[in-house]
Amino acid sequence: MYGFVDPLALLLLPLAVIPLVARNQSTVAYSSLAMLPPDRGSDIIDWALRVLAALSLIAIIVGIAGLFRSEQSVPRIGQGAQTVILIDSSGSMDTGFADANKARVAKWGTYISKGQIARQLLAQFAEQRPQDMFALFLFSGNPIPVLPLTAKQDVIQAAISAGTIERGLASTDLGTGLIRSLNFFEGKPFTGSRIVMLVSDGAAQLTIPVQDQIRNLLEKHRVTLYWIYLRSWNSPGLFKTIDVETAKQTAPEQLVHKFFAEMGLPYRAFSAENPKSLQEAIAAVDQLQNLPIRYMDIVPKQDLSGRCFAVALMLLAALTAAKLSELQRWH
Amino acid sequence: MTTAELHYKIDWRASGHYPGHHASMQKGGGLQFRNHAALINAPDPRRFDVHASLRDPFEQVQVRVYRQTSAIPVYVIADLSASMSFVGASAKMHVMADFVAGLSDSATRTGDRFGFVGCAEATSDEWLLPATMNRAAGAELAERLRAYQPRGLSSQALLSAADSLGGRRALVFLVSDFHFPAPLLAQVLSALAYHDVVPVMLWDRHEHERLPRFGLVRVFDHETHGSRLLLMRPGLRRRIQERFAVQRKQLFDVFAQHGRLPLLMEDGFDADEVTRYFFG
Repeated sequence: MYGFVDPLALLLLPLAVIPLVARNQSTVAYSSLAMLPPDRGSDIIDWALRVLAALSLIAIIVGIAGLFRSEQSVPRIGQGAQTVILIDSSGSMDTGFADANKARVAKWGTYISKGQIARQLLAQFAEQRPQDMFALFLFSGNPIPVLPLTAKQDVIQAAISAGTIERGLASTDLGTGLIRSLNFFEGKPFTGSRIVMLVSDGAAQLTIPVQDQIRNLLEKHRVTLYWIYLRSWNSPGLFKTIDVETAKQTAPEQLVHKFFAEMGLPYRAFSAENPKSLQEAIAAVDQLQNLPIRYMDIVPKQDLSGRCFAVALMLLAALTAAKLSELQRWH
Repeated sequence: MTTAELHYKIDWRASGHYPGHHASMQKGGGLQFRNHAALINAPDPRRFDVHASLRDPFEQVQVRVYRQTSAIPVYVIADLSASMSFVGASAKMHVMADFVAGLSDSATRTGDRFGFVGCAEATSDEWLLPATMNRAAGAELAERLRAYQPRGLSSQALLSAADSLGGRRALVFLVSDFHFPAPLLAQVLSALAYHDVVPVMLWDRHEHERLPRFGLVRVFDHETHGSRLLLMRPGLRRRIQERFAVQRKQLFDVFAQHGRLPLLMEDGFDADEVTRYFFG
């Protein structure tokens, strides 16, 4: 939809008729027009100049009126997966990454935290999948929706890099975060692979009802779950075999991993320590079947008066050129 | 001011009584022998012809009769429509003024009367000079012409110009650019058929030959009050030149059918050129 900031200025529009009817251009006297042969080229130039003048007036007046295109949604066709990134922003993510720093008491700023590593990985991931659409959720206590599904890289990168500061909350409610991000797909047409990319150190426990709900939702919305796991310092990690009781005490993420792995639904875990894991994750997404995604993209309000003036400037330049080539006298 | 002197002649016999320079039908004191007549019919004993009297079987006294030379009226019929306001290398009205000054002066010196009829939509008393021997009249008229901006919207009055010329056959210079429809030209020439008409084509080289090479120009026609935008370029320039060449040929044809080729004045008034037209 188009609109005008100052529609009253459009009252000037009838002025555009002037060049079409006025004949007060400087003239040169000649004896007899009947003696001049008809010339189609000159006639065309004559009318072209009049029309140019009228158009430049229209462009200026429309520019003065402040033409804008209001915000509108445009249907676009995308190709790629729909990925919901679920970032754990709990306090444990602010602690050092497994091999980053061996100091017992770490001072913020002297080491690279797990959250920062995670965001670097995600930024690279998003960068290498430009055709995909991403949404972003943060969770620690309550999940916070940050970004709805979009394919705009600038927005995605900005959303990922935002929040790389300390001061995460103490709690880690992984269950609610997952459920909330899965519910994001509720009622949306299934147009491509759906991925929930969990980025967490996984220090959380899932109760049985929550586990059931997660499993049901994953199945219902046909979502593939990826877990980019960030190992804490001194943590055994996901893949080291320890017995269940010990795991309950020291590495609750092993139990979470076990639950995901035994659901019988598409799931993969990637370890952020492994430099190849990012490539693996990208390759894994590549293998998923992608249908064209039809979605509505929102184009913000655009001020078009500048373009009007640019058009007017070009037209006036053409008219000036014509004026400069005008003969002031016959000989 | 001295004006250039030009000479003209006619190839018909003038009918005026007033003695002048041109061959005439009138009997009188000339040098050209006409016939013999009885003294009783031509009572001039000075022309007594002994031989003819002796030869005459009726024994009448014979005298020789001669032809006199007569003066003729010389007229300029001028087109004063707005198209004559064109200013090229020189203003057309200036050329006309020069021509009128030179011709009136020369006519007076030749012994002929000079007259002028100016025509636009209608003839007006302002631009009517009946044939006169007054030598100042032509000079004064020329000055008025020089300062005049013609604004006539047509050349229609040329049709009725013949009414102002009087009954004697005259030498008429029809001065115009002849930028008017061919039917009007034919009518004008027919209306003037009794007189000896010399068409004087006032064309300017800047009008049809030395045209601008390139540029936009809006030309205005004071006669029709119309205007047109022209993109002057070599192609259009050539087309205009060709258009004028065709027009010139057509005019020459029409004038030839009416007895005389036109006198083309493209580079201002040159008295010798006029003389060459008659004697060249």
